[in-house]
Amino acid sequence: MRPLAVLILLTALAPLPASAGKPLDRATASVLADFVRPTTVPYPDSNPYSKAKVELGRKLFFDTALSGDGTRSCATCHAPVSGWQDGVARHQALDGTMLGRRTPSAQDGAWGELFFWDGRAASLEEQALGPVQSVLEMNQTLDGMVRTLEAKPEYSGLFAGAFPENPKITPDTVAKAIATFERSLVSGITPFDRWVAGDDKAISREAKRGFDVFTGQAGCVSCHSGWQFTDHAFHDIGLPSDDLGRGAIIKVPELNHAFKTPTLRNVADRAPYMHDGSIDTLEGVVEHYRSGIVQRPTLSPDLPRIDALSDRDIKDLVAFLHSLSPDPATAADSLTASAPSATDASDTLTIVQKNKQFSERHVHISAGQALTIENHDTRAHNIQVFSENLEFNSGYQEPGEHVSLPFTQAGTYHVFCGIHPKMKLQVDVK
Amino acid sequence: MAGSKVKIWVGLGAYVLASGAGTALAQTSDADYSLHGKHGVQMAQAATHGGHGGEGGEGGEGGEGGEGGEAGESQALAGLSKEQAYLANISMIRGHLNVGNELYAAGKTNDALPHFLHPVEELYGELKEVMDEKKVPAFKSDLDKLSGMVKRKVPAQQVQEQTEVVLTRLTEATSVIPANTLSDPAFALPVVVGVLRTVTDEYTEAFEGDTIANPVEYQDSLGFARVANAMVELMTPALTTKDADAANQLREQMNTLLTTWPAVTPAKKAVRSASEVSALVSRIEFATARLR
Repeated sequence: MRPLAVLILLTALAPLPASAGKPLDRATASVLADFVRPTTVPYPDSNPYSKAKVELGRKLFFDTALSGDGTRSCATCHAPVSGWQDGVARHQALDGTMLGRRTPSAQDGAWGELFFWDGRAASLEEQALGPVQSVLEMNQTLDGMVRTLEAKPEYSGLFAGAFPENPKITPDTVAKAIATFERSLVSGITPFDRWVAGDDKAISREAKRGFDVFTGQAGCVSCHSGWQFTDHAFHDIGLPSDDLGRGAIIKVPELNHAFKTPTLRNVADRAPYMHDGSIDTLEGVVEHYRSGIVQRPTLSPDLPRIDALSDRDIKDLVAFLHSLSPDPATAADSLTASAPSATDASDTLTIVQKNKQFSERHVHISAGQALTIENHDTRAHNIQVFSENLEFNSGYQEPGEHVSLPFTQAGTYHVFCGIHPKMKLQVDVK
Repeated sequence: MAGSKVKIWVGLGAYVLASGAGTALAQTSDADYSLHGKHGVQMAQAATHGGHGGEGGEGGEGGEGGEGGEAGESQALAGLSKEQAYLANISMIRGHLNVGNELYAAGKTNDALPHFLHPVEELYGELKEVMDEKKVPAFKSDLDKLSGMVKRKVPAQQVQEQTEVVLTRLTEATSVIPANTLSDPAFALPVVVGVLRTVTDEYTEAFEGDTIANPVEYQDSLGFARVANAMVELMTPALTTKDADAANQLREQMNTLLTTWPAVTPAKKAVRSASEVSALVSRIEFATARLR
């Protein structure tokens, strides 16, 4: 960067350390910019963050009162010790049969677009009450849930604190609290994140070669893109199943057998794999793409090109996937990463520009903090703010340059690029 | 910016000498129409409160594509022929140069910068197809030279001189469309409408809630409105011959529209809301229907 600025990549309470070891070369850094871990957790305006809401949501998430027979909570399947999953191919239903699909992880849902494997829920709030009402999963009615919670005296004060304007226990407030808690579940910092942050020694040589295979020859990145390694889209990857997935939801036959691309963060610890939990190992997943795909018209055009991979390529690919597991020291971050901003304790929040986009669309900082915007793009930008409390114009911001915006007063600011009108960033300053 | 006149290339082979935002109709009687070199008609307006400078309308930026990333998001130019869209895009370059030069002359060099970059980043690519078909000499290097001068913050006089060079290139590029086509309201009024729809889009984008938050979009809409107005002014004789009442009504409404921008640098509180501007543009579009 010119002038040099330290890139800060961090979760809510767990900032990445500044670059250590040999720095990345410019070309590599440019490629990795697409995988920069966000610095803050996004919360929707319709359900903003509050600590009280997270704490209420946490209690609800672990409360078996949400199930009809009082034996199951959300955490029964989304267990923290199993990466907010359950470690089994398919969970046992209340009637003793096996559920149809693998339990997805509840981590990093704050960045999700549609929820459930088939995307039938448009928000985490909507998703939260789905399993509660499923006769096979928690078998509770919404009225029954409210009555049960109202009968527990500890909830009265918790709801009042979380929803001071409407402290009632309702399906809506329950869903909002659980969703807020789920948004606080952020996956930990991985060696790959540290590599992206500039530490060239963070991952092995094999993993780096594997990343090249992943983004190049194999084309896995077509679907597993961005810092979460998912395009949030739906693909038929040729698993032998009658489950129609997304196609059944939106009644589009071309999307039959299509399921949401899962994140690959922490993937090495998330076995078994696929929406039906049918593959036990990462090597098995690679082998599926090489030889196991069921041919049918609905197959995704983005399927990886595995046929020509050598055995070494596959080993490298798997080594890379292992680099996506959190460092032990941050593996439990998901329970503590609950603040909306990662940078409350820092003087500066840093984001980047790449491909005519800001790496964030909405950030929260404190008055007195600066926002640094680094141009990782191949083109110039022009950062501007035009508000009552701040008027700022960076002038011509060349690739490689950074600008710092001082936010001294609380309020909402709209940052934009004067050259590329679609580049917008909202900054909430407390 | 009374007293600081900025030359603005207008569509249809003419350019306007104008300054700042202001009214059109009220000043028409003061307008000095005269030939100006090889470029054609020059309208000099001594604006009493800023004065407006029209420019040939371009078509919505949103319809352009290019690096601005706005491709396909606006339907402002939908329905225009290839040549009409070409003229609209040329006109939008003029709109950018109009407000860019005004800001630069006022010493607001950083504010001016986007308006010298947008023509290259967003618009030039949209001209390529027709330019290639009609063998129009490339002029991207002239645009690049101009934006480079703005980046280096050279004296305003040099920027204006290079702007003249670009304006000449734009005139040459426009001249591949026959003059009788350019002056035909049936051809030109839809271009005006396309530009004005873009004005609505850009003006809307300038807002966050009830206040102006993006001066660049505000200025884009101003530059494009000026261009559209200049095109109407240049067509006035033909429009008046066709339907004097309708022509006068159109000019009155254009005049009203231009009061939306009291200055090139916006205040936080706008004169009109985006919906009010949209309604005005709709009325103008309706008025043009009688004149095609």
